[in-house]
Amino acid sequence: MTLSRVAYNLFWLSRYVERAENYARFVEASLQFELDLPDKVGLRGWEPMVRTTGDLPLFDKHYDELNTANALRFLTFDKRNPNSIYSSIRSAREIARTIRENLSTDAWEHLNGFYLELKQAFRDSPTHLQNAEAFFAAVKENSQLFQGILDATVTRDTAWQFSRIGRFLERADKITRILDLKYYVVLPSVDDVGTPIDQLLWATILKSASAFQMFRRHTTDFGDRVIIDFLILEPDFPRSLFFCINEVKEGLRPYKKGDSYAMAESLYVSLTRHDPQAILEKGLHEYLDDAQKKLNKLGDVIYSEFFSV
Amino acid sequence: MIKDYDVAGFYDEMFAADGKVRPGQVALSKYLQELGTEKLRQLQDAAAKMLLNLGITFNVYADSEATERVFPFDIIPRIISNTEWSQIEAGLKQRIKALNYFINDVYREQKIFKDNVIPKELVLSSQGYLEPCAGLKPNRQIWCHITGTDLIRGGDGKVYVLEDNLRTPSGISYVLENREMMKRIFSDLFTQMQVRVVADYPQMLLNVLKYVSPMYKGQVGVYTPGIYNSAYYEHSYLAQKMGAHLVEGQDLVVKNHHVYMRTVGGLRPIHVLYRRIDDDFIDPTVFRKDSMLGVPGLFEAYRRGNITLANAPGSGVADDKAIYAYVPDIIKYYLDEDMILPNVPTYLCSRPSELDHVLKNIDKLVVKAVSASGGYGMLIGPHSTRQQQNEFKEKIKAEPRNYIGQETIQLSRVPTMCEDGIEGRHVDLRPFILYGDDIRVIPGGLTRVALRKGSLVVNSSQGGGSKDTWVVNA
Repeated sequence: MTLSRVAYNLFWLSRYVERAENYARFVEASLQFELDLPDKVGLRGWEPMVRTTGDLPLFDKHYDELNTANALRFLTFDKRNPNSIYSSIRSAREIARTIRENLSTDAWEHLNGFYLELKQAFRDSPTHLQNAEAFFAAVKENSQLFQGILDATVTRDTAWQFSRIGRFLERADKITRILDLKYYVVLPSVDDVGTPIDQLLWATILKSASAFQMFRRHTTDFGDRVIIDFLILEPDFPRSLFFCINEVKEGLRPYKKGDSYAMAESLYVSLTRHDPQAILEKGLHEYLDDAQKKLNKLGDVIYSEFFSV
Repeated sequence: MIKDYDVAGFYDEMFAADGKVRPGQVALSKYLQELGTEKLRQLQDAAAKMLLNLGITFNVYADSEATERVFPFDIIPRIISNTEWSQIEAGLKQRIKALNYFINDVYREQKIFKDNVIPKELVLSSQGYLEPCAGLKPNRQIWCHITGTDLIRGGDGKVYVLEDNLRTPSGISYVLENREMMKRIFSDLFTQMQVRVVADYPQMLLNVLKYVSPMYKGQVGVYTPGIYNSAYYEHSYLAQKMGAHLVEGQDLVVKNHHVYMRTVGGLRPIHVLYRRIDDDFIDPTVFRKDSMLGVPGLFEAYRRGNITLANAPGSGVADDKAIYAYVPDIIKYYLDEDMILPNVPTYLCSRPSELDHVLKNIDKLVVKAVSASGGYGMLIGPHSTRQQQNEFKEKIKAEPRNYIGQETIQLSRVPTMCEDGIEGRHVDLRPFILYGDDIRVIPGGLTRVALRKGSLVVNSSQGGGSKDTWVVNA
């Protein structure tokens, strides 16, 4: 038996931790992308990266110039951005504090320690991200550790299921946003499609999804069709849209008669019918936009079915 | 370090006035001596860090970022011999038994008024008296399931009862966590001394709550005002240790006079609430209408016996500071026994002759508002200015019922880790008493220590810290 408030909080706790991890990957890969580019003429610098997160208007409100330093600060350490890595971990930890009796002691102590570390780092250097590489490594490692500890120490009860649903709904949302980077980064000219710059961008997207290596093992081809196939439709890769939707659906299985399960299942079924060629013909951006809307709707339906009893 | 220790004319629990170590304290004093100040300080720092990482904090209402603080902890344990403890334990059991009889009587037959032991007006005018509870009979006639009585040791070495806390006393989580930490830090000392166990408290509490459940296998919850309450950590801690649901008002709903929790599977019944929220706030339809923390209909469900609330609403009538003065009479009346643990000599300003005494001797007495707690609303005569004394005189004259005067007790001191090494600091003690199928007292309790030099105020909101309390066979 799980209180609605507790399930709701666990759902968000997992989302925030997953969000922090995804941001860390994404920002790290974008930094690499920037360093690899021979010259930035025609590319719009960090604007596509910030736009992908959906928080460009918020960025514009607080910053005059969209340069690397500002974008980095905004996405990692900025308290004014509720989705920055720091804010996400702070929110996760604050939520954990309110439902602490539902977490294992190990999970709580880990998250609390992680937050205190970040807070200290923030205090030491409030405006500038020091030692970016170590920072991203720590965020990824700590987030994964937290999820691992949860999986290893928490009973598979309703509370755990909602944390799983939150985690995979968040991951599904982030994979659609990362892929959309392809739309926002406009190549200097049509001729650049298929060139090293194009390939570099795809590699960045794969790395942002922590998918580069698994993708290489999956196929020897390279190009939009196979990458879309892998990141959207691959049933066995744990960060693909397909995989995430399936996890959400399975998490909702105990409530088979409800609206949420029905919606997750219909999303799942439609994914089994898609193919990369059709997605490209429809337009990748339009496809992803549509997917994000459906994921948001699913979040709303879950909220009204379970959390506002 | 301990060589230069100065008892400074106070009763020190480790050293007698002639500097000799008191019996029962020898093993600890030797251990501290051998360890040395440097090592102790390292251990103290390690403990502080541990508390922060474990997230053992209390909330302070003020700025947003610093709302969480670690409750300062002193690593030198306070030792009480088992022999002395037996006496304290017997005194507490006697007191709680009598006070429970008293509450039951006040709300039902009121025999104690008819027999002229205590004035009816004094009791019924108490802030803790709740008219809607008149005539109620809580399950198994237990009102005060959980009590945290404040004890102090005076300059004469004797233990006195300072205050009865029968509403929502807090501090037990620090007792349990402090002990866990001390076991890690002083494992060798633990093996040397036989320290009585406190870790079974959550199980004992759960047993009490189940014992008073309106039904067999009732669902138990801890009812918290929420994350912004200063003791939120403790609510969460106890729920976790008991495997109970931690619920807020928004998680509960009353239908047909039964109480339910909102769960992802729909509404589920709940039967016992260990509530850590004041009487005033539990039900906006009966008590404070502006309460956002309460549950409409909860009191009616309680009145009908469909849910047990621990402690029972209205129990606070017995911890009114004016009624405190009558506790010796209350014990005599219900149990026909003499009080084992003495009260601090107390003067009621509602009695004209005693009012006069308080006004004349205000510079020597401690004056307290009967309804205030947490060390607020009090005047410590010997430490106050003439102006403060005059202000209090005016307040007392305006509302005599609202004030008591007490003899100033020089709180005992115990060795404490301070800036300049080990020094004596004033302490009190809050043992916890559980009332279920039997009355049980946790061996030891929360020792609160006034960390500021010379301070007598031990409250955490005013510079107090805590110590682990060891009841040992000696």
